[in-house]
Amino acid sequence: MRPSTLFLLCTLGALTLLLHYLPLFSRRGLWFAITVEPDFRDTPPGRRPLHYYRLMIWAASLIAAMMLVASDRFGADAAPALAFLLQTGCAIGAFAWARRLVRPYAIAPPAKRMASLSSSQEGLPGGFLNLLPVAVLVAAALYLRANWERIPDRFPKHWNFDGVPDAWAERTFWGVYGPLLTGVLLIVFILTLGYGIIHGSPRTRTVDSAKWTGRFRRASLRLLLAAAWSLSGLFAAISLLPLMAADSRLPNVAILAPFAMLVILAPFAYQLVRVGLEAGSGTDGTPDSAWKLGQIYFNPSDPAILVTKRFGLGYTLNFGNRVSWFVIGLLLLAFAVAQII
Amino acid sequence: MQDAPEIVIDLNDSTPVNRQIVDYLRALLVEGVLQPGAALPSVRRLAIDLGVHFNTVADAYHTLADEGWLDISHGRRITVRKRRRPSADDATQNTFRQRLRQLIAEMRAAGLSESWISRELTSIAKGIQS
Repeated sequence: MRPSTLFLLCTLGALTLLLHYLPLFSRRGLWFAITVEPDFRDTPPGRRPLHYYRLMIWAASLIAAMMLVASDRFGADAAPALAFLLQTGCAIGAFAWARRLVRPYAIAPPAKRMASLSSSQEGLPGGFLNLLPVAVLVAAALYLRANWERIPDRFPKHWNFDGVPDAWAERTFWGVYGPLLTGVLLIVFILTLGYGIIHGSPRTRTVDSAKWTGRFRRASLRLLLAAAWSLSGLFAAISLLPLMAADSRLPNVAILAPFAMLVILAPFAYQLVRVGLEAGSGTDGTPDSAWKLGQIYFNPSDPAILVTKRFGLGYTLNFGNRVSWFVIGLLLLAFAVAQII
Repeated sequence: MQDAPEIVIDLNDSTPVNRQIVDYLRALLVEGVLQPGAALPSVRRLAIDLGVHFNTVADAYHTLADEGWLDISHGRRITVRKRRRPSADDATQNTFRQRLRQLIAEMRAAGLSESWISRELTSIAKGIQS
């Protein structure tokens, strides 16, 4: 079996496990994006949708795995993409089916709303230290500038699964500094997201989940900042590859950097999952009708820009808020500019 | 560190939300939970936390500012003002007498005893230090 197929099978397996456990990470008062009683998921009508959902996920993943193995044997290039498409499509279908089974047990979201009267200005944990990831990338750029003559005229920028280069870049401004600029953009995006969570998402809302929401916000922000820090290390390492890849083979640092990133992020992701599984998470106070397909939040009467996801962990945009469309427009513009350059 | 006070509103209540915010905050101000100089969350912050429109919160803050409780000068933090207790004239006393009368009639109709109502009114009035 080719190493690429093995890698794809491992990725498929990891995604299957994630999809298997994903429904459990939602708030206790929500089940498949429907507002229910907090203990509903432990009752037989609550367990039934989960059972069907998981059955569909595993059946689709098994077929996708068989497609990957078949593509390895018979060399069908489109099969891996189709396999992942099949898994994703079936996951969406399984979620929609489970949601339909839960809907008859829906209850109204709590009418009581609560807010803290604290006026203290929240900030990103770490304050100005959060600019250090950008500083690391700037330092890498300065190092590259100082060693410009040592950079080969043509150097590998991508390697296949056997560690052999399959794409090359030249010693130009964009060729050398491109990865650093991408890193800066990603870090700025992450810090903006953190800023959005602090200023554009509810600190509390429902009486039953006020304390949990605070813990969840902090855990989410820590994970985001850990991502910014580890991305800065990853992109700095990538940008320095032209100075290391003397024999054009994949340098060890390029293999180790993504793993190091995963190791750094793992404890923060674990902490977020732990908070997600805590009792007392209650409900989010948003109406079920505002959740299109259970995943997309569209509520023009809610001033929040970001709200906690109903399926999975993290935050999602309120597409009923004009600011959200402005943010999406900016992102698309940045992407278009990056493509043109 | 002492926890900041909280505000609770009920969307099912027949009282409009801006009025609920005004009533809740006024109670905290009269009871001295919110002291002069204390800062309140911005209109945007409170609206996002409660999930109500910005104008609803802004309207409530304006009402309290008109009553002399809050300083909402543009571009500054919303803070609690030191307020001099106004002297209630006969008209004001009559208005509140009428409102109390209606409330007590409702309480009696709901089965509450005279002594219970009297005890509660005394206890609440003593608990509030304006």
